[in-house]
Amino acid sequence: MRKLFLVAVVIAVLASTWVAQAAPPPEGPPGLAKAIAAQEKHNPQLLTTRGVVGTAVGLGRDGGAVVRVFTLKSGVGRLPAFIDGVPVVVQATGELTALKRRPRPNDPPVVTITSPTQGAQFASGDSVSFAATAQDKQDGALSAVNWTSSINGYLDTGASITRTLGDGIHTITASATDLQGAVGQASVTITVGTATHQTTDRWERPVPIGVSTGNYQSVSAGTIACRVRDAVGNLYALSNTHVFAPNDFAGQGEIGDIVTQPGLYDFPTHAYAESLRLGTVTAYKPINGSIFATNVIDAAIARMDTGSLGTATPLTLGGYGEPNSVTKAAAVNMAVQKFGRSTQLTKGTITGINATMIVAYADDWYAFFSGQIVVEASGAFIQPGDSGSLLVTDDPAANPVGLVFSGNANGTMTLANPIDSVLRYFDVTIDGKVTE
Amino acid sequence: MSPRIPNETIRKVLERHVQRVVSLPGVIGVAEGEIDGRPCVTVYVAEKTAAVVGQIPSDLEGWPVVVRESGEFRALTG
Repeated sequence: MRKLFLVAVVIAVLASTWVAQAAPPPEGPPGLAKAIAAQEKHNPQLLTTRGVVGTAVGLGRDGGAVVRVFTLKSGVGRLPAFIDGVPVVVQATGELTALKRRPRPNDPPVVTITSPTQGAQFASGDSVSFAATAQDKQDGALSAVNWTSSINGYLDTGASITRTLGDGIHTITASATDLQGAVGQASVTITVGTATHQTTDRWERPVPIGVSTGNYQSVSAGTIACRVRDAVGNLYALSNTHVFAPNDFAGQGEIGDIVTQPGLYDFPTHAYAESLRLGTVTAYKPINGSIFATNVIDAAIARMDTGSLGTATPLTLGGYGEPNSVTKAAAVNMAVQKFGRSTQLTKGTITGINATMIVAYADDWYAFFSGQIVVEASGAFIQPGDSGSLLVTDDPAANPVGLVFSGNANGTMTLANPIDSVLRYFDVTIDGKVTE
Repeated sequence: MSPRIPNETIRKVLERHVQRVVSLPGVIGVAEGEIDGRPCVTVYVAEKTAAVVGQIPSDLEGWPVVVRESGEFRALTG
Protein backbone atom coordinates (compact mmCIF):
# COMPACT_ATOMS: atom_id res chain seq x y z
CA MET A 1 0.00 0.00 0.00
CA ARG A 2 2.75 2.40 0.99
CA LYS A 3 4.70 1.64 -2.15
CA LEU A 4 1.70 2.37 -4.31
CA PHE A 5 1.15 5.68 -2.60
CA LEU A 6 4.73 6.74 -3.20
CA VAL A 7 4.52 5.85 -6.84
CA ALA A 8 1.32 7.81 -7.14
CA VAL A 9 2.96 10.84 -5.56
CA VAL A 10 5.94 10.60 -7.92
CA ILE A 11 3.61 10.31 -10.89
CA ALA A 12 1.58 13.27 -9.69
CA VAL A 13 4.66 15.38 -9.23
CA LEU A 14 6.01 14.45 -12.62
CA ALA A 15 2.65 15.02 -14.21
CA SER A 16 2.37 18.46 -12.69
CA THR A 17 5.85 19.30 -13.78
CA TRP A 18 5.00 18.10 -17.27
CA VAL A 19 1.85 20.15 -17.51
CA ALA A 20 3.49 23.30 -16.19
CA GLN A 21 5.97 23.62 -19.09
CA ALA A 22 5.37 24.24 -22.78
CA ALA A 23 8.05 21.76 -23.93
CA PRO A 24 9.32 18.52 -22.39
CA PRO A 25 12.00 19.35 -19.81
CA PRO A 26 15.36 18.95 -21.61
CA GLU A 27 18.51 17.74 -19.96
CA GLY A 28 21.13 20.41 -19.78
CA PRO A 29 22.67 23.39 -18.07
CA PRO A 30 20.90 25.21 -15.25
CA GLY A 31 18.22 27.60 -16.35
CA LEU A 32 17.97 26.22 -19.87
CA ALA A 33 14.23 25.84 -19.79
CA LYS A 34 13.89 29.30 -18.37
CA ALA A 35 16.12 30.74 -21.10
CA ILE A 36 14.18 29.01 -23.85
CA ALA A 37 10.94 30.31 -22.44
CA ALA A 38 12.32 33.82 -22.20
CA GLN A 39 13.62 33.69 -25.79
CA GLU A 40 10.31 32.42 -27.12
CA LYS A 41 8.33 35.00 -25.24
CA HIS A 42 10.47 37.97 -26.21
CA ASN A 43 11.52 36.98 -29.76
CA PRO A 44 8.86 39.06 -31.50
CA GLN A 45 10.10 42.16 -29.76
CA LEU A 46 13.78 41.30 -30.06
CA LEU A 47 13.69 40.40 -33.75
CA THR A 48 11.97 43.64 -34.66
CA THR A 49 14.48 45.71 -32.73
CA ARG A 50 16.51 47.71 -35.21
CA GLY A 51 19.95 46.17 -35.78
CA VAL A 52 19.05 42.70 -34.45
CA VAL A 53 19.56 39.90 -36.96
CA GLY A 54 18.84 36.89 -34.76
CA THR A 55 18.55 35.29 -31.33
CA ALA A 56 19.58 31.98 -29.77
CA VAL A 57 19.82 30.24 -26.46
CA GLY A 58 23.36 29.46 -25.46
CA LEU A 59 25.83 29.15 -22.63
CA GLY A 60 27.16 32.06 -20.68
CA ARG A 61 30.67 32.18 -19.34
CA ASP A 62 29.60 30.72 -16.04
CA GLY A 63 28.02 27.73 -17.77
CA GLY A 64 24.51 28.89 -17.20
CA ALA A 65 22.02 29.39 -19.98
CA VAL A 66 21.79 32.79 -21.62
CA VAL A 67 19.86 34.37 -24.42
CA ARG A 68 22.19 35.48 -27.21
CA VAL A 69 21.20 38.40 -29.41
CA PHE A 70 23.06 38.81 -32.73
CA THR A 71 23.36 42.28 -34.15
CA LEU A 72 24.53 43.96 -37.34
CA LYS A 73 27.16 45.90 -35.51
CA SER A 74 28.19 46.72 -31.98
CA GLY A 75 26.52 49.47 -30.10
CA VAL A 76 22.98 48.54 -31.03
CA GLY A 77 20.97 50.20 -28.30
CA ARG A 78 17.80 49.44 -26.49
CA LEU A 79 18.66 45.84 -25.56
CA PRO A 80 17.98 44.73 -21.97
CA ALA A 81 20.67 43.09 -19.84
CA PHE A 82 18.16 40.51 -18.56
CA ILE A 83 14.88 39.19 -19.83
CA ASP A 84 12.70 37.37 -17.37
CA GLY A 85 15.71 36.93 -15.18
CA VAL A 86 17.83 35.37 -17.95
CA PRO A 87 21.10 37.13 -18.84
CA VAL A 88 21.28 38.61 -22.35
CA VAL A 89 24.58 38.42 -24.24
CA VAL A 90 24.86 40.67 -27.28
CA GLN A 91 27.17 39.69 -30.15
CA ALA A 92 27.86 41.79 -33.25
CA THR A 93 27.94 39.25 -36.13
CA GLY A 94 27.07 41.38 -39.11
CA GLU A 95 24.48 40.21 -41.60
CA LEU A 96 23.63 36.51 -41.64
CA THR A 97 23.14 35.17 -45.14
CA ALA A 98 22.36 31.74 -46.59
CA LEU A 99 25.73 30.39 -47.78
CA LYS A 100 24.49 28.89 -51.01
CA ARG A 101 23.24 31.98 -52.67
CA ARG A 102 25.74 34.56 -51.67
CA PRO A 103 26.56 36.65 -54.72
CA ARG A 104 29.89 38.43 -54.84
CA PRO A 105 29.82 41.65 -56.73
CA ASN A 106 31.66 41.28 -60.03
CA ASP A 107 32.06 43.69 -62.90
CA PRO A 108 32.52 42.50 -66.47
CA PRO A 109 35.71 43.60 -68.24
CA VAL A 110 35.69 46.86 -70.16
CA VAL A 111 36.98 46.31 -73.69
CA THR A 112 38.14 49.26 -75.82
CA ILE A 113 39.18 48.83 -79.45
CA THR A 114 42.01 51.21 -80.32
CA SER A 115 42.55 49.89 -83.86
CA PRO A 116 40.95 49.85 -86.39
CA THR A 117 38.78 52.96 -85.95
CA GLN A 118 35.05 52.89 -86.57
CA GLY A 119 34.29 53.21 -90.31
CA ALA A 120 37.89 52.62 -91.45
CA GLN A 121 38.31 51.56 -95.08
CA PHE A 122 40.87 49.09 -96.43
CA ALA A 123 41.78 47.98 -99.94
CA SER A 124 41.20 44.36 -100.95
CA GLY A 125 43.90 42.14 -99.55
CA ASP A 126 45.31 44.77 -97.17
CA SER A 127 46.67 43.67 -93.79
CA VAL A 128 44.56 45.04 -90.97
CA SER A 129 46.05 45.71 -87.54
CA PHE A 130 43.78 45.12 -84.57
CA ALA A 131 44.45 46.37 -81.05
CA ALA A 132 42.30 46.53 -77.92
CA THR A 133 42.56 46.93 -74.18
CA ALA A 134 40.56 44.82 -71.75
CA GLN A 135 40.45 46.13 -68.18
CA ASP A 136 38.72 44.24 -65.40
CA LYS A 137 37.90 45.93 -62.08
CA GLN A 138 38.55 42.77 -60.08
CA ASP A 139 41.14 40.97 -62.23
CA GLY A 140 43.15 43.80 -63.77
CA ALA A 141 44.35 43.90 -67.38
CA LEU A 142 43.30 40.89 -69.49
CA SER A 143 45.47 39.90 -72.46
CA ALA A 144 43.32 37.18 -74.02
CA VAL A 145 41.18 39.29 -76.33
CA ASN A 146 39.21 37.23 -78.88
CA TRP A 147 38.71 38.88 -82.27
CA THR A 148 35.93 37.89 -84.66
CA SER A 149 34.66 39.22 -87.97
CA SER A 150 31.04 38.98 -89.07
CA ILE A 151 32.34 37.80 -92.47
CA ASN A 152 35.50 35.81 -91.77
CA GLY A 153 34.52 34.39 -88.38
CA TYR A 154 37.08 33.92 -85.62
CA LEU A 155 40.30 35.78 -86.43
CA ASP A 156 42.80 35.39 -83.60
CA THR A 157 43.39 35.99 -79.88
CA GLY A 158 45.62 38.70 -78.45
CA ALA A 159 45.75 42.34 -77.42
CA SER A 160 47.33 43.13 -80.83
CA ILE A 161 46.93 41.00 -83.93
CA THR A 162 47.27 41.46 -87.69
CA ARG A 163 45.10 39.70 -90.29
CA THR A 164 44.05 39.98 -93.92
CA LEU A 165 40.28 40.03 -94.26
CA GLY A 166 38.04 39.14 -97.16
CA ASP A 167 36.03 41.79 -98.98
CA GLY A 168 32.93 43.24 -97.44
CA ILE A 169 31.57 45.30 -94.59
CA HIS A 170 32.86 43.70 -91.40
CA THR A 171 31.61 44.08 -87.86
CA ILE A 172 34.77 43.42 -85.87
CA THR A 173 34.15 42.33 -82.28
CA ALA A 174 36.79 42.16 -79.54
CA SER A 175 35.75 40.26 -76.41
CA ALA A 176 37.39 39.27 -73.13
CA THR A 177 36.24 37.08 -70.24
CA ASP A 178 37.19 37.67 -66.60
CA LEU A 179 37.91 35.00 -63.99
CA GLN A 180 34.25 34.95 -62.92
CA GLY A 181 33.16 34.28 -66.50
CA ALA A 182 31.70 37.74 -67.14
CA VAL A 183 32.20 38.86 -70.74
CA GLY A 184 32.88 42.34 -72.01
CA GLN A 185 33.07 43.29 -75.65
CA ALA A 186 33.33 46.13 -78.11
CA SER A 187 32.69 46.37 -81.86
CA VAL A 188 33.67 48.51 -84.81
CA THR A 189 32.49 48.38 -88.42
CA ILE A 190 35.05 48.52 -91.22
CA THR A 191 34.93 48.07 -95.00
CA VAL A 192 37.41 45.98 -96.97
CA GLY A 193 37.54 46.29 -100.76
CA THR A 194 34.29 46.76 -102.61
CA ALA A 195 30.92 45.31 -101.67
CA THR A 196 30.36 41.59 -101.49
CA HIS A 197 30.27 39.15 -104.43
CA GLN A 198 28.06 36.30 -105.56
CA THR A 199 29.32 32.74 -105.34
CA THR A 200 29.95 32.79 -109.09
CA ASP A 201 32.11 35.94 -109.03
CA ARG A 202 35.86 36.20 -108.81
CA TRP A 203 36.60 36.94 -105.13
CA GLU A 204 39.58 38.90 -103.85
CA ARG A 205 42.18 36.58 -102.36
CA PRO A 206 41.95 34.91 -99.91
CA VAL A 207 38.67 33.60 -101.32
CA PRO A 208 35.99 32.09 -99.08
CA ILE A 209 35.01 28.42 -99.26
CA GLY A 210 31.68 27.36 -100.81
CA VAL A 211 32.19 29.45 -103.97
CA SER A 212 32.71 28.62 -107.66
CA THR A 213 35.87 26.83 -108.77
CA GLY A 214 37.07 24.68 -111.67
CA ASN A 215 39.85 23.40 -113.91
CA TYR A 216 41.57 25.92 -116.23
CA GLN A 217 40.93 23.73 -119.28
CA SER A 218 37.22 23.12 -118.77
CA VAL A 219 34.24 25.41 -119.14
CA SER A 220 32.55 24.06 -116.05
CA ALA A 221 32.20 24.93 -112.38
CA GLY A 222 31.90 23.23 -109.04
CA THR A 223 32.31 24.25 -105.40
CA ILE A 224 35.26 24.59 -103.03
CA ALA A 225 34.36 22.31 -100.10
CA CYS A 226 36.78 23.66 -97.51
CA ARG A 227 40.44 24.23 -96.81
CA VAL A 228 42.48 21.21 -95.72
CA ARG A 229 46.06 20.87 -94.59
CA ASP A 230 48.58 18.04 -94.61
CA ALA A 231 51.01 16.90 -91.91
CA VAL A 232 53.63 19.50 -92.86
CA GLY A 233 51.16 22.37 -93.02
CA ASN A 234 50.60 22.71 -96.77
CA LEU A 235 47.17 24.14 -97.56
CA TYR A 236 44.78 22.74 -100.16
CA ALA A 237 41.31 23.36 -101.53
CA LEU A 238 39.13 20.24 -101.33
CA SER A 239 36.55 19.45 -104.04
CA ASN A 240 35.48 16.57 -106.30
CA THR A 241 37.60 14.68 -108.84
CA HIS A 242 35.13 15.64 -111.56
CA VAL A 243 35.45 19.32 -110.58
CA PHE A 244 39.26 19.63 -110.44
CA ALA A 245 39.96 16.92 -113.08
CA PRO A 246 36.91 16.91 -115.38
CA ASN A 247 38.81 15.85 -118.50
CA ASP A 248 40.49 12.78 -117.03
CA PHE A 249 38.42 11.78 -114.01
CA ALA A 250 39.10 8.10 -114.63
CA GLY A 251 42.86 8.58 -114.82
CA GLN A 252 45.53 10.74 -113.24
CA GLY A 253 46.38 12.97 -116.19
CA GLU A 254 45.29 16.25 -114.66
CA ILE A 255 47.67 16.34 -111.73
CA GLY A 256 49.47 19.68 -111.93
CA ASP A 257 46.56 21.38 -113.76
CA ILE A 258 45.75 24.91 -112.64
CA VAL A 259 42.52 25.35 -110.69
CA THR A 260 40.67 28.63 -110.92
CA GLN A 261 38.25 30.73 -108.89
CA PRO A 262 35.68 31.09 -110.31
CA GLY A 263 35.28 28.06 -112.59
CA LEU A 264 35.50 29.08 -116.26
CA TYR A 265 31.77 28.47 -116.71
CA ASP A 266 31.24 31.53 -114.48
CA PHE A 267 33.88 33.76 -116.06
CA PRO A 268 32.49 36.07 -118.80
CA THR A 269 35.08 35.13 -121.46
CA HIS A 270 35.12 31.42 -120.46
CA ALA A 271 38.85 31.53 -121.10
CA TYR A 272 41.67 31.14 -118.61
CA ALA A 273 43.41 34.30 -117.35
CA GLU A 274 46.26 34.51 -114.84
CA SER A 275 44.07 36.52 -112.45
CA LEU A 276 41.83 33.47 -111.99
CA ARG A 277 44.60 31.15 -110.79
CA LEU A 278 44.07 29.73 -107.31
CA GLY A 279 46.45 26.78 -107.18
CA THR A 280 47.27 23.45 -108.85
CA VAL A 281 45.82 19.95 -108.66
CA THR A 282 47.89 17.84 -106.26
CA ALA A 283 46.02 14.55 -106.10
CA TYR A 284 42.65 13.01 -106.91
CA LYS A 285 40.87 9.66 -106.61
CA PRO A 286 40.21 8.37 -110.14
CA ILE A 287 36.63 7.18 -110.73
CA ASN A 288 36.44 3.51 -111.71
CA GLY A 289 33.65 2.81 -114.19
CA SER A 290 33.99 -0.98 -114.19
CA ILE A 291 30.84 -2.87 -113.21
CA PHE A 292 33.06 -5.01 -110.98
CA ALA A 293 34.37 -2.06 -109.00
CA THR A 294 32.88 0.21 -106.39
CA ASN A 295 34.09 3.71 -105.57
CA VAL A 296 33.88 5.36 -102.17
CA ILE A 297 35.10 8.89 -102.90
CA ASP A 298 34.97 11.39 -105.76
CA ALA A 299 37.52 13.78 -104.25
CA ALA A 300 40.48 15.94 -105.22
CA ILE A 301 42.81 18.40 -103.52
CA ALA A 302 44.60 21.36 -105.08
CA ARG A 303 47.63 23.00 -103.45
CA MET A 304 46.82 26.64 -102.83
CA ASP A 305 49.05 29.52 -103.84
CA THR A 306 50.00 31.47 -100.70
CA GLY A 307 47.16 33.59 -99.34
CA SER A 308 44.60 32.22 -101.81
CA LEU A 309 42.04 30.47 -99.66
CA GLY A 310 40.23 31.29 -96.44
CA THR A 311 38.29 28.95 -94.18
CA ALA A 312 34.73 30.28 -93.98
CA THR A 313 31.60 30.30 -96.16
CA PRO A 314 30.56 33.92 -96.88
CA LEU A 315 28.37 35.18 -94.05
CA THR A 316 27.28 38.01 -96.33
CA LEU A 317 25.62 35.40 -98.59
CA GLY A 318 24.01 33.55 -95.71
CA GLY A 319 26.79 31.02 -95.18
CA TYR A 320 27.23 29.22 -91.86
CA GLY A 321 30.75 30.62 -91.44
CA GLU A 322 33.54 28.17 -90.69
CA PRO A 323 32.93 24.42 -90.60
CA ASN A 324 34.23 22.61 -87.54
CA SER A 325 37.63 20.98 -87.74
CA VAL A 326 36.13 17.91 -86.04
CA THR A 327 34.08 15.62 -88.30
CA LYS A 328 30.99 13.59 -87.44
CA ALA A 329 29.79 10.22 -88.74
CA ALA A 330 26.56 10.26 -90.73
CA ALA A 331 23.44 8.88 -89.08
CA VAL A 332 19.87 8.51 -90.33
CA ASN A 333 17.71 11.52 -89.31
CA MET A 334 20.73 13.81 -88.85
CA ALA A 335 19.91 17.43 -89.79
CA VAL A 336 22.49 18.72 -92.28
CA GLN A 337 23.27 21.78 -94.40
CA LYS A 338 25.59 22.79 -97.18
CA PHE A 339 26.78 26.01 -98.82
CA GLY A 340 27.49 25.70 -102.54
CA ARG A 341 28.01 27.63 -105.76
CA SER A 342 24.53 27.07 -107.21
CA THR A 343 21.98 26.88 -104.41
CA GLN A 344 24.10 28.49 -101.65
CA LEU A 345 22.80 27.60 -98.17
CA THR A 346 20.37 24.69 -98.13
CA LYS A 347 19.21 22.35 -95.41
CA GLY A 348 18.15 18.72 -95.45
CA THR A 349 18.06 15.45 -93.55
CA ILE A 350 20.10 12.27 -93.90
CA THR A 351 17.67 9.49 -94.80
CA GLY A 352 20.11 6.78 -95.87
CA ILE A 353 23.61 5.64 -94.99
CA ASN A 354 25.95 2.98 -96.36
CA ALA A 355 24.26 3.45 -99.73
CA THR A 356 25.26 1.53 -102.84
CA MET A 357 24.29 3.58 -105.88
CA ILE A 358 24.83 3.79 -109.63
CA VAL A 359 25.92 7.32 -110.58
CA ALA A 360 26.00 8.74 -114.11
CA TYR A 361 29.07 10.77 -115.08
CA ALA A 362 28.05 11.20 -118.70
CA ASP A 363 25.13 10.02 -120.78
CA ASP A 364 26.67 6.59 -121.20
CA TRP A 365 29.22 6.46 -118.41
CA TYR A 366 28.32 5.09 -115.00
CA ALA A 367 30.14 4.18 -111.82
CA PHE A 368 29.13 2.21 -108.72
CA PHE A 369 29.55 3.91 -105.38
CA SER A 370 29.21 2.27 -101.97
CA GLY A 371 29.17 3.54 -98.39
CA GLN A 372 27.42 6.74 -99.47
CA ILE A 373 25.25 9.20 -97.55
CA VAL A 374 21.76 10.03 -98.89
CA VAL A 375 20.38 13.49 -98.06
CA GLU A 376 16.79 14.46 -98.70
CA ALA A 377 15.05 17.80 -98.78
CA SER A 378 11.59 18.99 -99.78
CA GLY A 379 13.11 21.36 -102.36
CA ALA A 380 16.41 21.44 -104.25
CA PHE A 381 19.20 20.66 -101.80
CA ILE A 382 21.63 20.78 -104.70
CA GLN A 383 21.80 21.61 -108.40
CA PRO A 384 24.58 21.19 -110.98
CA GLY A 385 27.50 23.34 -109.85
CA ASP A 386 27.13 22.38 -106.19
CA SER A 387 29.51 19.45 -106.69
CA GLY A 388 32.20 19.57 -104.05
CA SER A 389 30.08 21.29 -101.40
CA LEU A 390 30.88 20.28 -97.85
CA LEU A 391 28.00 18.62 -95.99
CA VAL A 392 27.96 19.73 -92.34
CA THR A 393 25.63 19.31 -89.36
CA ASP A 394 22.81 21.84 -89.18
CA ASP A 395 23.75 23.22 -85.76
CA PRO A 396 26.21 25.80 -84.38
CA ALA A 397 29.01 23.22 -84.39
CA ALA A 398 28.79 22.69 -88.20
CA ASN A 399 30.72 19.40 -88.05
CA PRO A 400 31.67 18.13 -91.51
CA VAL A 401 29.84 14.91 -92.39
CA GLY A 402 30.27 14.42 -96.13
CA LEU A 403 31.49 15.64 -99.53
CA VAL A 404 28.62 16.25 -101.96
CA PHE A 405 29.17 14.90 -105.47
CA SER A 406 25.90 13.86 -107.12
CA GLY A 407 22.14 14.17 -106.93
CA ASN A 408 18.89 13.53 -108.76
CA ALA A 409 17.50 15.95 -111.33
CA ASN A 410 15.36 18.12 -109.05
CA GLY A 411 17.86 18.04 -106.21
CA THR A 412 15.52 16.46 -103.67
CA MET A 413 17.99 13.60 -103.21
CA THR A 414 21.73 14.11 -102.86
CA LEU A 415 24.68 11.74 -102.48
CA ALA A 416 27.75 12.55 -100.42
CA ASN A 417 30.97 10.64 -99.69
CA PRO A 418 31.62 10.03 -95.97
CA ILE A 419 34.06 12.81 -95.07
CA ASP A 420 36.46 10.64 -93.05
CA SER A 421 37.09 8.42 -96.08
CA VAL A 422 38.03 11.54 -98.04
CA LEU A 423 40.37 12.94 -95.38
CA ARG A 424 42.04 9.55 -94.85
CA TYR A 425 42.70 9.11 -98.56
CA PHE A 426 44.72 12.35 -98.74
CA ASP A 427 45.95 12.22 -95.13
CA VAL A 428 44.72 15.75 -94.44
CA THR A 429 42.68 17.51 -91.79
CA ILE A 430 40.06 20.23 -92.13
CA ASP A 431 41.04 23.83 -91.33
CA GLY A 432 38.02 24.91 -89.39
CA LYS A 433 36.86 26.21 -86.06
CA VAL A 434 38.10 24.43 -82.98
CA THR A 435 35.50 25.58 -80.47
CA GLU A 436 32.07 24.11 -79.90
CA MET B 1 8.98 -10.12 -86.94
CA SER B 2 12.43 -8.57 -87.31
CA PRO B 3 15.31 -9.38 -84.98
CA ARG B 4 16.47 -6.86 -82.34
CA ILE B 5 17.98 -3.80 -83.82
CA PRO B 6 21.79 -3.32 -83.86
CA ASN B 7 22.55 -1.88 -87.28
CA GLU B 8 25.33 -4.38 -87.83
CA THR B 9 22.60 -6.94 -88.38
CA ILE B 10 20.88 -4.95 -91.13
CA ARG B 11 24.30 -4.14 -92.54
CA LYS B 12 25.25 -7.81 -92.74
CA VAL B 13 21.90 -8.71 -94.30
CA LEU B 14 22.23 -5.93 -96.85
CA GLU B 15 25.73 -7.08 -97.71
CA ARG B 16 24.37 -10.51 -98.66
CA HIS B 17 21.68 -9.07 -100.95
CA VAL B 18 23.05 -5.81 -102.36
CA GLN B 19 24.58 -7.23 -105.55
CA ARG B 20 21.39 -9.03 -106.49
CA VAL B 21 19.04 -6.14 -105.71
CA VAL B 22 21.12 -3.49 -107.46
CA SER B 23 21.23 -5.70 -110.58
CA LEU B 24 17.44 -5.71 -110.89
CA PRO B 25 16.20 -3.68 -113.88
CA GLY B 26 15.18 -0.15 -112.88
CA VAL B 27 17.00 -0.21 -109.54
CA ILE B 28 19.44 2.66 -108.98
CA GLY B 29 20.67 1.68 -105.54
CA VAL B 30 20.03 0.70 -101.93
CA ALA B 31 20.71 2.21 -98.53
CA GLU B 32 20.12 1.62 -94.83
CA GLY B 33 17.19 3.83 -93.93
CA GLU B 34 14.43 4.13 -91.39
CA ILE B 35 10.67 3.75 -91.49
CA ASP B 36 8.45 4.53 -88.51
CA GLY B 37 11.56 4.79 -86.38
CA ARG B 38 12.83 1.34 -87.31
CA PRO B 39 15.72 0.44 -89.62
CA CYS B 40 14.74 -0.62 -93.11
CA VAL B 41 16.33 -1.22 -96.49
CA THR B 42 15.52 1.60 -98.91
CA VAL B 43 15.62 0.64 -102.60
CA TYR B 44 15.92 3.56 -105.01
CA VAL B 45 14.39 3.16 -108.47
CA ALA B 46 14.38 5.31 -111.60
CA GLU B 47 10.62 4.93 -111.97
CA LYS B 48 8.24 3.29 -109.51
CA THR B 49 6.29 1.12 -111.98
CA ALA B 50 4.42 -2.05 -111.10
CA ALA B 51 6.94 -4.06 -113.10
CA VAL B 52 9.91 -2.61 -111.24
CA VAL B 53 8.32 -2.84 -107.79
CA GLY B 54 7.05 -6.35 -108.52
CA GLN B 55 10.52 -7.86 -108.56
CA ILE B 56 11.73 -6.22 -105.37
CA PRO B 57 11.20 -8.31 -102.23
CA SER B 58 9.02 -6.74 -99.52
CA ASP B 59 11.55 -7.69 -96.86
CA LEU B 60 15.10 -8.96 -96.63
CA GLU B 61 15.49 -11.62 -93.92
CA GLY B 62 12.97 -9.82 -91.75
CA TRP B 63 14.11 -6.23 -92.42
CA PRO B 64 11.37 -4.23 -94.19
CA VAL B 65 12.07 -2.97 -97.71
CA VAL B 66 10.86 0.48 -98.77
CA VAL B 67 10.90 1.49 -102.46
CA ARG B 68 11.56 5.18 -103.29
CA GLU B 69 11.48 6.81 -106.69
CA SER B 70 14.65 8.85 -106.83
CA GLY B 71 15.31 9.00 -110.55
CA GLU B 72 18.87 8.80 -111.78
CA PHE B 73 21.78 10.24 -109.78
CA ARG B 74 24.25 12.37 -111.76
CA ALA B 75 27.59 13.97 -110.94
CA LEU B 76 26.79 17.64 -110.30
CA THR B 77 29.08 19.57 -112.66
CA GLY B 78 27.75 22.93 -113.78
